[in-house]
This record gives sequence, structure tokens and C-alpha cells, in this order.
Amino acid sequence: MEYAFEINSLNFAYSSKRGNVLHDISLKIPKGSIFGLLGPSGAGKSTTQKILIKLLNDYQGDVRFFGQSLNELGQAYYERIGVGFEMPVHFNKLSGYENMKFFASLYQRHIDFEKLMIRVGLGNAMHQQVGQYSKGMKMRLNFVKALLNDGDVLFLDEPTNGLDPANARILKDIILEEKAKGKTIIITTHLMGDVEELCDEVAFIANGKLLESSNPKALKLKYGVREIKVEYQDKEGLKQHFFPIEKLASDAFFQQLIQEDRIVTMHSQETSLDKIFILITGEDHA
Amino acid sequence: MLKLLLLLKSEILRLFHYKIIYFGSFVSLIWVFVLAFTSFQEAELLMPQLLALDAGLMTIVLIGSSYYFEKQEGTLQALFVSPVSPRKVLVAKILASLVPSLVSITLISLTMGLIHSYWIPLLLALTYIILATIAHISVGFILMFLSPDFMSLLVKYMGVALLFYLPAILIPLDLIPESLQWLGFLSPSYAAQYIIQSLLIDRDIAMILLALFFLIAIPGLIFPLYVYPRFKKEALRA
Repeated sequence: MEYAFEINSLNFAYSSKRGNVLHDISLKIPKGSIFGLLGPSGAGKSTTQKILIKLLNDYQGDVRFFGQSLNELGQAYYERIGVGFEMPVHFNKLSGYENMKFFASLYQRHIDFEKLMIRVGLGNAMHQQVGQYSKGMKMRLNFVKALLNDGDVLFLDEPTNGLDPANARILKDIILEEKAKGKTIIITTHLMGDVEELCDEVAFIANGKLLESSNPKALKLKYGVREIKVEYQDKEGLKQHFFPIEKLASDAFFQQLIQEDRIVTMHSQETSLDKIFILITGEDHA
Repeated sequence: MLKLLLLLKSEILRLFHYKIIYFGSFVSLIWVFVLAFTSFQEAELLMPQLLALDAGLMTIVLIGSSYYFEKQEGTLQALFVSPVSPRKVLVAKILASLVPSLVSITLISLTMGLIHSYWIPLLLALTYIILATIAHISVGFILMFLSPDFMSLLVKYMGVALLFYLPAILIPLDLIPESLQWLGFLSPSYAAQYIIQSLLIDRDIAMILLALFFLIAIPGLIFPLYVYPRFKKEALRA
């Protein structure tokens, strides 16, 4: 399998006095996958991302981009990646169009950003000053900027944060289209709904340590409780009971409910990534 | 080279959008007004001081405001993840910061020529102004890196302004022995004033060369040893 990034024993400290903020992180991000970098605030996700986009250089460990050490890569590296920051980063006094035109001019190749701006709903605001944009509009412009150079790897930090469901849907569809083109997408988010829908692989980071790295399905199997929720009719009204799946056939009460035809609804229980997030990191992200 | 030009164009465009260029030009127009309504003798005395002020301390305020605007918008961060080197970003900023001073020297030269019929050698004047401005920009960057916000920069700027204008006060009053007067050129503002004065009145060539040496040496040391190694880190600091 080819990897976009191979991270081995990554350690980082902002200053020697404050100690490490990343402790011995090792990760592999497969090419062509959507990889979720998850964790509570201050966990080290952003620091990890800043190292991967070469905004922080004084790290210890080995980080490889398609097999080549990150330290060996010059400015040409930025032709191959697109970065969407969590906070909007635009010249507020310039229009959205002028912003994109300026950033596009810095790359050897770029996409038809006008078309993308229209698709994400910025068509009418294209020539409006970014300072007059709403937060959601700035986030969408951030997204366009990340895709501007048609990079092989996209870093998207909270891409749907602050967006209404319709606009979030458009962005998620584009992310999936980019993946279909073979791009690797690294998403940092706390929205587990997005993770469940988009990510092929996820890594949970807390307190600068990698706690878990796997695919969402495997995590659900590992941390999930295999049980069935049954709602049944009782003398006192509607009641519910949870049955372990593996003991279902031999469970006398369950058999009795079937025989007496008292079952109203029956659903398998799937542990959500929300619950897994709290289980792994020990924190409620909401 | 093309990317540097693109960055420079964008920097200059932003000077207009943020009205920094208008503010600088407005100040220059005040100087024009002052010079136009004074006698030639008074204008001859005032002009070097006004130009040194524009090229020097005004530049620090203007580049400072632009820098904090950009920090607030996070656009430096966006530039650092695009295929342009931080060196080019820094050079573009330095070159763009020359624009208000160049506007100032042009307006003031025209005033001296049209009102007082004294045409200063423009090429030499431009060279002096560029050197003086770059020296002050280098000091401006030190102040910016030491200041978390624009207000804090202004406070530090006051202290530096006082320090930089001290030689201009003490030397004419003969409070500094003649043998030590060259030390005044450690202040880029005094060095700038001295060489600009030499455009109007006779000055000691050796002292002019010494002033030029300091105006070249100050940024020549500050930019590679202090500003450039810290530029990316400081620009990214929230």
C-alpha cells in the first residue's frame, strides 16, 4: 500500500521549558483515503497538522511524504498540498475573487476557481469584499482556497464548521469527489457525523498522544456493544429491554416475547463515534 | 522573480486597500503645505527633517499597521503554505514599504523645485531615501517582533523615536564632543537627516560616507541576523 504520509516517533515541543506537546506519534496515512485526525481541543491535532504542512519544523522523529523526508522538501511541496485552515485566512479588504486570483497566481497550476466558487454558493458574492462575508461564506472561501492548486493532498481543518446542512452537504460531496479522483484528504474535526460519513481511517489524539488509529467500522466493533434493543408490550404499557446478540437464541425472556407476540420494535444497537470519542479520549467533545 | 513581483503587486494593492498609502500621502501633503508657505531658508532647514521623518519613523508606523492587519487576517499563514519562500514574502514587504517614502520625496522635491526654484538631485535623493527607509524598516521589524499588538508597537516606537532623535538635538547644541559625533549615525534617523541635508548644504564627505555606511550596515545586519530567522515564527504567532 502506498502512503501519503508515514509518521514515525513524532515528538514536538514549542519550547524546551514547556515540555512536549506531541509524544511519540506514529501514523500511516494511506494514499487516496480520507483520514480523520480527531481529538479534544488542545490535544495536539493542530500541531500535528502544522508539522505536516511544514509550518513547524523543529520536530523530532521522521515524517515522510510519499516516501520522501519532509525536511528534504522545499517550497515545491506546497504545489502538491492544499490547506484549509480552521479560521478564515483572507485579505478582508479584497473581494473573494481577488483573494482567489492572487493565491492562484502563486501556483504553477490551478483549478477554475470561479466555477468552484459558484458551486459552493459564492457566485453572487464573488466580487464582494471578504470583510462583508458571513462566517459560513468565509469558511466556504477557505475551502475553495484549499482546492485551488488541485493538490494531491488536502488538509481540511473543520471544513463544515459553522455551515448550514445544505452547504455542508455540498462541501462533503466535493470532498468525496476529490477522494474519487485519488486525492488524500486529511480532516481535522470534532463533528463525528462528518467523520462517520467521510473518513476511511481515523486517529484519536489526546494530550499529545496517539490513543487509537483504525477505521471507523473496526472501532465500532472494538468499542461497540453488540446488543439488540427491543420494545415490547407489557401490562403497564410499552417497555424496552437490551439483549446481547450472542445470547439471543438462548435467552428465555426474548423467546417468550416472540412466542407471545409482544415485540413492537427491534433494533440492533450501534455505538456511535461520539461515544467512542468519549470512551477513547475520556472527554466530551461537544 | 515573477512571484516576487506578484507579491509586491499584492502588497502595494493592499497599501491602497488599507488606506495606508493615502494616510502616508496625506502626511506628505502636510509637509508640502508647510514647505510651500515658508521661505527658502526655512524650507532648506525643514526639508531634511521632514523627509527623514517620513522615511524613518512614519515608515515604522505604516509597515506596523499593515503587519498587524495581516496578522489579524491570518494571511501570512496562508502565504507560508503556498509555493513562495518566506524570504520573498519579506522582500516584497520591504519593497512595498518604500512606496510611501518615494511618494513623499517626489512631492517634496516638486515643491522645492516649483515653489523655491531649487531642484534637488532626484536620483541621489531617491537613493538616500531608499537607504534611510530600509534601515528604519529593519528597526521596525524588531519592534514588531517585540510587540504583541499595534498599541504595544506604538509605545515602543515612542521610546525609539526619542532615542533616534537625541543625536539631532545633542549634536547641534555641541553637547557631544566632535570626535564622538559619528556615533550619532548609530541612529538611522540622524544618519538619514545628515545625508538628506547634504543634498542642500555642503557636508563633510567623510561624514556622509560614514552615515551611508551605517544606513547600509544597520539593515545589513538586522535583516539576516535577526529579522529573517524569526520572520516565519513571529508572523505565525497569534
